[in-house]
Amino acid sequence: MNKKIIKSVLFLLILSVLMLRLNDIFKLKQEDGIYPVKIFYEQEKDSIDVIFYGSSHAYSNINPAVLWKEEGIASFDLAGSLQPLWNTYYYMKESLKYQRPKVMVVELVRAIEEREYIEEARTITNTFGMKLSREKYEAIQVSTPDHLVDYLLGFPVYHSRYAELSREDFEPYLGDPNGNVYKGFYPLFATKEYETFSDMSQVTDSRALSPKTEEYLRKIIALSEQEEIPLVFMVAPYQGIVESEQQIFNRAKEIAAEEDVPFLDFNLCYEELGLDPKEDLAEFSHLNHRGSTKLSAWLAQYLKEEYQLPDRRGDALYISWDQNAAVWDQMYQNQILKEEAGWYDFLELISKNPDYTYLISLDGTFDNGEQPLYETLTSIGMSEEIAAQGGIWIHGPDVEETFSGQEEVNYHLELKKCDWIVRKGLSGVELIVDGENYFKTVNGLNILVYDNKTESFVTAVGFDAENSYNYIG
Amino acid sequence: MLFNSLEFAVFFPAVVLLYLLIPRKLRCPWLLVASYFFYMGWNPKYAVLILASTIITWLSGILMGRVPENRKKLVVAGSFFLNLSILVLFKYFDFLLHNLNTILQSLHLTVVDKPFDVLLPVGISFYTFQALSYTVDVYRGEIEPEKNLMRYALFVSFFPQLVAGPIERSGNLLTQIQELPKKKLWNYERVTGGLILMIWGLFLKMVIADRAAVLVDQIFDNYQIYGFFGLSVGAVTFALQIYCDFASYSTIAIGAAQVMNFQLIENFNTPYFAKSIPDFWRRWHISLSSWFRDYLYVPLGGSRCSKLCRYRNILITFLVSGLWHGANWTYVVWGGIHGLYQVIGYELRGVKEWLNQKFHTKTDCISYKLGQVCTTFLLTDLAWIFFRSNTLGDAFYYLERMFTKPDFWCFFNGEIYSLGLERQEIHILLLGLLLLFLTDLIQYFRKERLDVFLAEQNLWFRWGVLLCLIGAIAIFGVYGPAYDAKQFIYFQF
Repeated sequence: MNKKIIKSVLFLLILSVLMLRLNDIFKLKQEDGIYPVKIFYEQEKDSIDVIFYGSSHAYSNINPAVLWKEEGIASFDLAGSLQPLWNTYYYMKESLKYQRPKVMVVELVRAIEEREYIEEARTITNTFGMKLSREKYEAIQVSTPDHLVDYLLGFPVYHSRYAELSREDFEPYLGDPNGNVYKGFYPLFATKEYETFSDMSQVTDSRALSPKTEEYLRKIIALSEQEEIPLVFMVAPYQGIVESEQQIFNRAKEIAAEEDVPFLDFNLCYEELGLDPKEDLAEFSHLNHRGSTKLSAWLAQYLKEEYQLPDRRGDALYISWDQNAAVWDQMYQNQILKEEAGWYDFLELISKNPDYTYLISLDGTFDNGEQPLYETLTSIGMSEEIAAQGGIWIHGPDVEETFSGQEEVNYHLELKKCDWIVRKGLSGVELIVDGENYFKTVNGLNILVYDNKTESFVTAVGFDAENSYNYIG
Repeated sequence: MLFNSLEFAVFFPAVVLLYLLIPRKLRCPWLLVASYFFYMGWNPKYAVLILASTIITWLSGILMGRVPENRKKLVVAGSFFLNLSILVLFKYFDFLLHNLNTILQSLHLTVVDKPFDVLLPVGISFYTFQALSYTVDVYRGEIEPEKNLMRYALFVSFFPQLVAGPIERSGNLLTQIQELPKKKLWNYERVTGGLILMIWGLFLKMVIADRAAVLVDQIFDNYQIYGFFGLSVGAVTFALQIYCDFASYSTIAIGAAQVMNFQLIENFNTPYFAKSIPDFWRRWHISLSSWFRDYLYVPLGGSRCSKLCRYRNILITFLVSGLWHGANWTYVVWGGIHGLYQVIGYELRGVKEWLNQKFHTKTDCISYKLGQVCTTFLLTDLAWIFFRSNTLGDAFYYLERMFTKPDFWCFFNGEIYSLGLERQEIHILLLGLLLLFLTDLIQYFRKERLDVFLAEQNLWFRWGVLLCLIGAIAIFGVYGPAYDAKQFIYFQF
């Protein structure tokens, strides 16, 4: 009998381990909504001074790295895409169990939400990151009452992800390699040019919020009063705003005024931020990396002045904000590199960044004699032989390899999140990154760049010697 | 409450745990309460009907023990009349009215308006037949009338097999209920065997049947756009879907009962390995086939009469069996086709033997037997088209298109992946079916169920298979908010 009990217990133990592992593999790891909450839990208790809540208008428009660099403000974006106010309310309640911010800022673009229940995918996004708690239970109940148990368990919802599993799903740490350094910001690096912002200054009338949205707007205000934490409402600027939406924001502003809550409507004062519609917008709804930097800098100054927030720079407890700023700088550098189309500046940028691993392949008649290619290449560290006769140079913090122009090559470089395979033979050159060939030009420079800091493949470019080193992206 | 629901995942362990712990005297009332709770999970009002059926048949049993021999038939007739009236009212009323109105319309007479709406109670055909079999068994003297209403009520409503069988006989289940206080409940091998069967049943249902349903629904709902390839795939997949769906319910029911130390009768025995139509019916839904054999075919005269009379009995039995499956002419025709298969099979027996002799066909080799199995599958599959179609017109048009729209190139151009299931889903389905094929092979050749077979294997193999099955259900099972869980097909019958 004892043997049978031991066998049963052992089987159940193995089964539990299997199910937990499956859960780890299958659970959602998206950067939208879920991941920021997971990382939020990893933040030092009571270390955050400002939490920004709301939708993508919070997490893509407000950059905590900029607030840190500008004023030393320790802030965090705790938001999810298209997050309705009822989910924002529960994010706030949940977050106050772990942090005691000096100010809570709620981005209110989703005050325009008129549906009683939003689509399932967004409800997943806005509830699945939360730990099992009363707040999570209530957040699910108010979002999708019919699927309460499935959402609480999680696995019934995401078990069908088997078709979309990727390398990240099987890695031991699920998410950011820098752990709690991440502060919830998701930058948008695209740029869409617009002539102007939409002018909403003439829209002065207001329109009622949906009953459910208003109920939770008021609950948010009540929560701030109950917790005695100052609350700020804001609406981030976006180009695609329409009159009916502005009317709703006007109504939200009236409610805020009734309760003495500051309301920052940036659609009415985008000039004050110095935003340029030609350069600072990712698309009709969001700011890009440049625009968000401007908005964040403005918010840093405003919050500092209005709420006398402490400058945490230099405090050992806040080292992760320093690291976050460094990661952001690196991401910004990566973006600048991606936008660089001149071969000389491109080489300058990669050679000066110690976190880059790069490959330069000099192919065919790579030197057309018109420009100081040899001098530039040798100045950044390439051997004279390769720079003169062609070949491949791979350089990085942990790698230094050269292959001459005549040499046959079959080389594999294993980077943390990326595999490079270099093949060179009679049939030509292949520069393969994760199975895709990035060889761009037969005569000229072919370059691959990987960033070890953000553990990401940055770019692959070619500069065509036959066409004045034209950029091939 | 579905077997593949979270509710059942909580309900079953709770019921079993208390069942193991409570005093012996309370076992029967506890299972009765649990069974009614289980049944009322669909609709509390249904409980009134099952209670009515229970009381009628129980009283008929008591009465038969008291009335003179010559009055017993009257009691049986009364019990049948009342039970079948309930069944007809709740299951066939709409069907009868619809047909009446069709006749009235063709005679240019005023149609009858529907006086009320009736909702088909889950499993009504199953428990009605189970209860009626008790009446006949008492009448035949095969079992003593059960005096204890609670025990009898549990026999009619025993939750593992209540809504989709197997249809139990009083000689088996009622006897086990009577012995319930004396039963030794805990037996490691039996309990684990039962749990293995439940896991296998869930695999059949959630990984195979509900996945196949997506493809089948796509083809049968849009059969007008498909040719031979798509319609053949639809028909074959439906044959496998209904097998997995129905067998899964029986397997879970048998497993659940086994955990509680009840042995239910086998309901499926590798039906698609049958070598003839009569053989198919000895393997498919055995509890129903044997019910019709014992309580309809034999009383009609069975095969101990003239050839014509025997054929009549076969046809009546299968037509009624078809009607039992659903209130639609498609089911009646499906039953009729199976009856005809048998009649034609008997008639052609001589021709078949003559042909075999003429062409010196070896009949004891694998290829011949395989040919028999394939022919039988083909015949049953053609009949399934009627079973699955919404109307007779749909079924005939389906068959017409199947044989007049050849598109053989579709076998080679990847058309299979555009029939409602993604490439990966098709592969999962095929792997699941391969596993089913292997277990059926074991059952066919070794005459062993999966639980028995696994019990004979080494621990690492047994555990490996179980962990893989549970993992496969967890990952590839069709459940959760992304899907609408399909109800077990046989609930409506």
